Amino acid sequence: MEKIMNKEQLIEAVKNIPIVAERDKWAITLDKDEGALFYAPKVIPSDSALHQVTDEYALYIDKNSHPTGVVVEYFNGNFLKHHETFGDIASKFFEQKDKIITIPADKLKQNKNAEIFRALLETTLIKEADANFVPA
Amino acid sequence: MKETYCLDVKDYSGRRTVFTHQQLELKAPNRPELREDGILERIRETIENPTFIYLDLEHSDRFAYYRREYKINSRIKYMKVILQDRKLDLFVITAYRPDYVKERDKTNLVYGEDNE
Repeated sequence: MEKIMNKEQLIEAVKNIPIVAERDKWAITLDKDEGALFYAPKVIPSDSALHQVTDEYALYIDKNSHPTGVVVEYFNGNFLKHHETFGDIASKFFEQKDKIITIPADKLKQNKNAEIFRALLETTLIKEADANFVPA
Repeated sequence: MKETYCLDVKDYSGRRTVFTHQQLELKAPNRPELREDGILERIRETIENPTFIYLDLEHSDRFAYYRREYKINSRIKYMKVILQDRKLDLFVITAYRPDYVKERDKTNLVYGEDNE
């Protein structure tokens, strides 16, 4: 059965993203086919359910209320328009033509642009969770 | 390469709609719902009998089919299927189960009623 999450629990889960992402080696994937950005492990665990946090992003949460992945729908068409600070770094970061671009966790640490992008993303997710939380 | 289908059905308006094995395998790692038992049946129900449909926010040839499933903690869970119009048929891009309608008030409702 799906975990019931209130606002406080969801915001707490968002705050745990940096620790969980480091521990579970989350990658960043831009799926141009779907138009979504994923910040998640290679395979998001099967017991995860999607919970919307703000209008811009949702979180997969497992049965223990732990975050198991972030999804930003309409990343290019919506999120980047509302987050100009991501513009330059995103264009450098996702310059390949492939339909699905994945930057694995180890590469995120080796590439300066990737490191900046990840830090900016984590900061933005946490900052906006409380300020722009979507009501039930 | 010839397409093979895990779903080949008609949508609510009678248009052929397909979900290929290749697309399912491509999307399943980042969409755990696609690995759930019975998910193809839920996708089929959504295609055949959606509660409402919105035009995609980015692509004018794509549609977001929603089927209301249940309410949990004041939030409604939907089955959502993104379909691309390939002229000859509709093609399932992906499917998942959100508790939010991203397209609401941003793009056109093209079918049904979204009264929640």
